[in-house]
Amino acid sequence: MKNKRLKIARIEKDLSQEQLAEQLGVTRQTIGLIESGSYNPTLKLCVAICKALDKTLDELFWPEE
Amino acid sequence: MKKTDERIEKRSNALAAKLLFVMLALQVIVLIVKVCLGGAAYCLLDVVALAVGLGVAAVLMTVKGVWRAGDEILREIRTACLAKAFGYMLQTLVFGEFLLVMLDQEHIAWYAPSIIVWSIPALAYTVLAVKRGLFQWGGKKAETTGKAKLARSTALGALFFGIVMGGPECIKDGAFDPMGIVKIIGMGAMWGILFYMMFTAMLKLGERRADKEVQEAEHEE
Repeated sequence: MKNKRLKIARIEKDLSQEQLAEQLGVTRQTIGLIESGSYNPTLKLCVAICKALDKTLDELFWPEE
Repeated sequence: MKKTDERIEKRSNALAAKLLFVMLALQVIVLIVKVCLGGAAYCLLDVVALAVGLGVAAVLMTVKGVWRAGDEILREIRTACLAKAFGYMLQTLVFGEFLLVMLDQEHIAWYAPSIIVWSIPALAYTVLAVKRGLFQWGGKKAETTGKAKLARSTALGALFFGIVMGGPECIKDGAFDPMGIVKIIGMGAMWGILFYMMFTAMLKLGERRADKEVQEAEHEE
């Protein structure tokens, strides 16, 4: 399932996939695969993403009702 | 601390873990053939490599308690242990063979089969890593810094290759031959340029494969 909330939060922060990836120390493709729902990140990476985007885990990763 | 991409690390580990079994199987075959042909005296590296491959995997899996990998996380830890064993066994074979060939050139034919044991899994790893997009720069900034780092490492490797291959040419009839230096530079430059070009081409191809995977995932519903 695609993670549109992550994509929106990233765009709101005015960050490209590459810029976010650089901040987190991962590749641009990993961010792309998380946004497209093809890769399930570890909790550690989820937390790092949330911190970088000033969001909570719930806001970005809790499944929508 | 060096940051690593967990996705690439997990996939690389899975690939290396599978290839550990290929390498172990090849090593057992080579060992049996050598013993059958009467070369038991030249099997030291084969035995050590087997011990390293099996030993590292067994010790790590015991320490981490993942012999019975019941869930996803335990399976990942077990895969990482096997991948580490693959790395150690590969290094043992490459450096061990290099040392044996340098020290005992008389029996080089007995050490040559070790090339099969490490080169097939190493080649398979490289090809599959490129094909699966695991071998990549991962961004423009990483590409810029990575290329500079690669150039430095290649220069060192080229110098080492040049000295090993062209070094003996520096001494001719007990006297220093300046042409030997030219040969060192020539051989080093040839190896370095070829290696750098091949490496960057592989990274470019790997990056393209990874981008394709992302594009396909984005288009999937």
